[in-house]
Amino acid sequence: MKKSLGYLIITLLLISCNRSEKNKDITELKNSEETSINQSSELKASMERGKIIYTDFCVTCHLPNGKGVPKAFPPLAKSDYLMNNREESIKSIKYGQSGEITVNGEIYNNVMAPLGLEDDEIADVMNYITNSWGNSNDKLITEEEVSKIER
Amino acid sequence: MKFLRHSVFIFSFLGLIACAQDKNPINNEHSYELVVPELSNPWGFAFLPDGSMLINEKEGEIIHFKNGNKTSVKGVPKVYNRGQGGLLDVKLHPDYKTNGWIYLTYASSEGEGKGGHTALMRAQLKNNTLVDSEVLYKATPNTTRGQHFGSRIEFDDEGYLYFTIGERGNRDVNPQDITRDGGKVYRLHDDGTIPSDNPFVNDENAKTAIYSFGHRNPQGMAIHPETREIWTHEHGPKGGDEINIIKSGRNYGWPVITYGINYIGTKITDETARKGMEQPLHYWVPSIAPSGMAFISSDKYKGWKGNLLVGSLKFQYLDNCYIKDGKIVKEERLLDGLGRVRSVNQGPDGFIYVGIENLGIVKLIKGKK
Repeated sequence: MKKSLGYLIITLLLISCNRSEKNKDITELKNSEETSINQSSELKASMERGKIIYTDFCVTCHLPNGKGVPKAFPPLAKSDYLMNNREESIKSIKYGQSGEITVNGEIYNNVMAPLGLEDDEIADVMNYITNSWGNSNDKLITEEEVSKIER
Repeated sequence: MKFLRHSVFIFSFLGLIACAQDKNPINNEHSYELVVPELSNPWGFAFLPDGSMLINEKEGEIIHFKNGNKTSVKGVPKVYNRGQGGLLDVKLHPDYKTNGWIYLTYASSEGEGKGGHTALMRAQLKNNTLVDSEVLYKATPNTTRGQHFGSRIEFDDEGYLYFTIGERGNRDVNPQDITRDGGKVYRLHDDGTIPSDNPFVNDENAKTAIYSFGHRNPQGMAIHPETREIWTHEHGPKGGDEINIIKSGRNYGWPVITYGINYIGTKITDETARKGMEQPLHYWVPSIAPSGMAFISSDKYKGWKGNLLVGSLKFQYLDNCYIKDGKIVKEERLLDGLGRVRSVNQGPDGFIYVGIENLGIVKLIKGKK
């Protein structure tokens, strides 16, 4: 009885989107902060700055939990595209992105306008998103690396 | 068992309010024609007396669209193209035919400090170049925040110019403080001077161009074709987008009162009303992310005359709002799923033109194709 109630609640919560996920989102935000404690202080500082950039420029589409919106805005959390395409991802943030991309087996065909971020800000937000929500990236992204990436 | 039944009820209810679905029905009795193809973000546009169009692309280009050809206008001010900032609205003076003034709002990094803030400029178009340009207003201080620049421009019948600036992502500092820019509707004379009857002209240190305050990010403004009142809409946070009628010196409440919540789901405030603060004429939960606003005053759309049209960025449709006794009584989706609706205007021919991101400008046609 208790078990079936549990399943029911979980299912209902799964079908309902956004608002009921808020507690989960907050926990995930906290968890992602905690994992950073073990990482280098340089990365930690960059991620902290990156989180501010994320909240400012990215959160309305990619959401606080990095999960994006199905069919419209691809996920960053546990995203194969983001984690396997470092240069392309930086390029997308720096110059914008349009056309088809496949993320975790789903095709997205939308447009992200260039955001007007400085190279150091792009490095910071990349360090934040590649080390949050279950993502892990042990190679720090630097301002210099971003500056060398051309259109 | 009773607990189970209760839980089912509670969680079904949670499911209902949680799903960010918009219940507005799709109207199928209309079609469209693509008039200006291949635009990336037609933030604002205006019709010149010869029927050609000036189109503001957010990234900083003004396109003169005439007889099917696009020409890039020269002499456009340098815009601060970052986040939501860029080249914003364009509006012609009501007496454009005699004085030739074109008004623009844009994000500008002019002045001290890193970053940018919203500016208002007027200029004349000669040989496809903006000349005699004058910055009439530049908000301060510059900031690198990417949000909430506004901005729309409108004129009333007395020749006053109204324009909006959003709170620049600084909600706890700007919108409730009349000594600071941002989160305001402003009113100026057409030459940029400040009207002597503006509400805060006698307040010490106040930004005297302010006409109303407590706004978040107004990206729609239009004068009502009959009452001649200035209507605006603004983006709420998560939920709580609003339509307001702008009155001198009034406080529209942000962020003290709101029908919205933070993006991560946490509360901003419990209050939706407070004495001395205006209630919206209408609000949307969930947010539709409104941009662009126009009333249908022509006879081109039978049954829709007097309706208010509002673009939805988030759900990608044009919201057809039916008004009865000053209230919105019904909403329908037009141009559903065509793209993020950024701008909407009634053309001199009486037809409605709609700027859609990554598509272009389309003409709305009543009846199926």
